[in-house]
Amino acid sequence: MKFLLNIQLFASKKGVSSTKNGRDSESKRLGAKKSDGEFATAGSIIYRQRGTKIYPGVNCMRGGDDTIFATVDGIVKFERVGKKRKQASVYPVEM
Amino acid sequence: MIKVTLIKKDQEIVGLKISGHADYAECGRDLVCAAASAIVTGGFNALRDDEIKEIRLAEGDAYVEVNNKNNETLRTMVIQLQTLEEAYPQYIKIK
Repeated sequence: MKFLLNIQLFASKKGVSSTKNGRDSESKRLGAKKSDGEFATAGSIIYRQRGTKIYPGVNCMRGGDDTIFATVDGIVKFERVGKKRKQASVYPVEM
Repeated sequence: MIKVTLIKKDQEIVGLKISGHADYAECGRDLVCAAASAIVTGGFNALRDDEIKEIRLAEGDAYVEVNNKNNETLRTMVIQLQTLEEAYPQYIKIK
């Protein structure tokens, strides 16, 4: 035969296209690093976040990447401030 | 959509040009494409060498021109393609 049969001679090849998705960034392990009632030393990280889901409360500060960390040794407390806001505080332990 | 163009000389069909994709389904499942592929490939193989003026068969592009008018093989191919067009007008068009 002059020509061999390609049974899909007039089929579009769209069916074999690849997807443009399939990429994702490295996960940044955000979230709480200390739980409520846990002891935290000065400088230790309490909450990793982007933006201020949690605000810095008593004896806490916010780092350049919005991380909340303790400024003194003490017990971590997550508190509600007003209707919507939450904050993390550290209260020193009386010896 | 598969486009079939009839090449005429003095109102007689002396050739066919078939191009495009049926897009009835994805490659490998395209029934209209399979039917058109079988008709065209079988028809081209049925033509004798002395009847052929020019012939080409590639993916999504087929062309044939014959030397003699009233070529029976060509007429059969046209009727088969018209039968296919009648059943699947959205996927194949003869003009």
